[in-house]
Amino acid sequence: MKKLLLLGALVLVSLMSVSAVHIEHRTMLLSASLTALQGSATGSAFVRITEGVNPESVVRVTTQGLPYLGQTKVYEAWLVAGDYWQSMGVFPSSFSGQTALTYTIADDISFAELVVITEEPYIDVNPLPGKNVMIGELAQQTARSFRRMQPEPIYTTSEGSLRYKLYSLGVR
Amino acid sequence: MKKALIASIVLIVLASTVLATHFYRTPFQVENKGAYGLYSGVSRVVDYDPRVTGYIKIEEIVYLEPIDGPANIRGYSHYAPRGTARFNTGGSLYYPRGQVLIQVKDVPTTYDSGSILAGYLFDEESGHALKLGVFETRQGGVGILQYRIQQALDKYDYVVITKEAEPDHDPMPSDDIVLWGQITKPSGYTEATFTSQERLFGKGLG
Repeated sequence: MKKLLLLGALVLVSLMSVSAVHIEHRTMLLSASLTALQGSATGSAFVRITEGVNPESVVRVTTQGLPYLGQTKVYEAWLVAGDYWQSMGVFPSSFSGQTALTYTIADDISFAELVVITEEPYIDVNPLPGKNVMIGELAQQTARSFRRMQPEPIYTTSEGSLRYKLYSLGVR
Repeated sequence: MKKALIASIVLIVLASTVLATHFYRTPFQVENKGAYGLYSGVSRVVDYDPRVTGYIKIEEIVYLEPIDGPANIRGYSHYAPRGTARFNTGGSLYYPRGQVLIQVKDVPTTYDSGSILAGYLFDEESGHALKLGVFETRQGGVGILQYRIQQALDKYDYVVITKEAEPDHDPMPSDDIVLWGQITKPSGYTEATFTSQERLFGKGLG
């Protein structure tokens, strides 16, 4: 009887540790409805953020009605937070106007406030954003997510301090 | 006599393969020399930019080291932080690709220090930093970060690993650079130039 009790306690403790791990890896869902700055194109962005020791974020951007740009220009999707623009990749335009992009990063991107789609040249040597085409504000999906982190962002300027650090150390 | 003749013929045939392997050239091994002994075709264009045919292809291993150099000036310490970044970019209009695989060793462990490491690609011309994600180092200072994006990454010049506070609410890189390495561009690569307005506001925002 005593052994059974000990065994039960052991199982209970192990189950608690498993549940603790699950609590640590919480999921947050964000979404944005994208609207075109010119024209009637529409779109949406869904973000799934897994918080925890190894954070991961997945973004799915879909658009309808974006104009065809030919083979000289492409669209680029961005996550924007203050002055910081995080590229999510480029995608070519299509005749049907329907495009999609999936982006995965090992990071918690709950800092993101906007999803923006820009127009870029096909061979783009400039990492900075081009002409804005669509924009959408990220909001929490309350039905399925646990919480939205409310960070106090400390955004530095777009110049960035890293560059000056490299220069000050003579790195060219 | 007949046997000797057959043997000699067989010997000659076998020996000819040696000559063939020595002198034979495949159709791709053509000497690219014109009438005046000058190189002709694409190879004579000295400022040829491979990007005219699509995204430039770079497959390179970038060696990462501390920004102040190795700690032991008399020799490279066995336990100095170090790492590699396998940098891979290329593709076409419809299938652009960029991949970075960062592996570090002997970097001070972060799992119990309230900090976390973040990988960045940094473009010197524009000052733009692209975050590749965050990762931890554990026993042995070992850490790994994998990043994939549907985009060519040839425009970036450095792979930089910084130490960030955890949780990291600021997407910009901190000043605490743990490791860095320069991406070597292929010959003929033309760097972009920017105006001060582009540096501050981007290409289409000013």
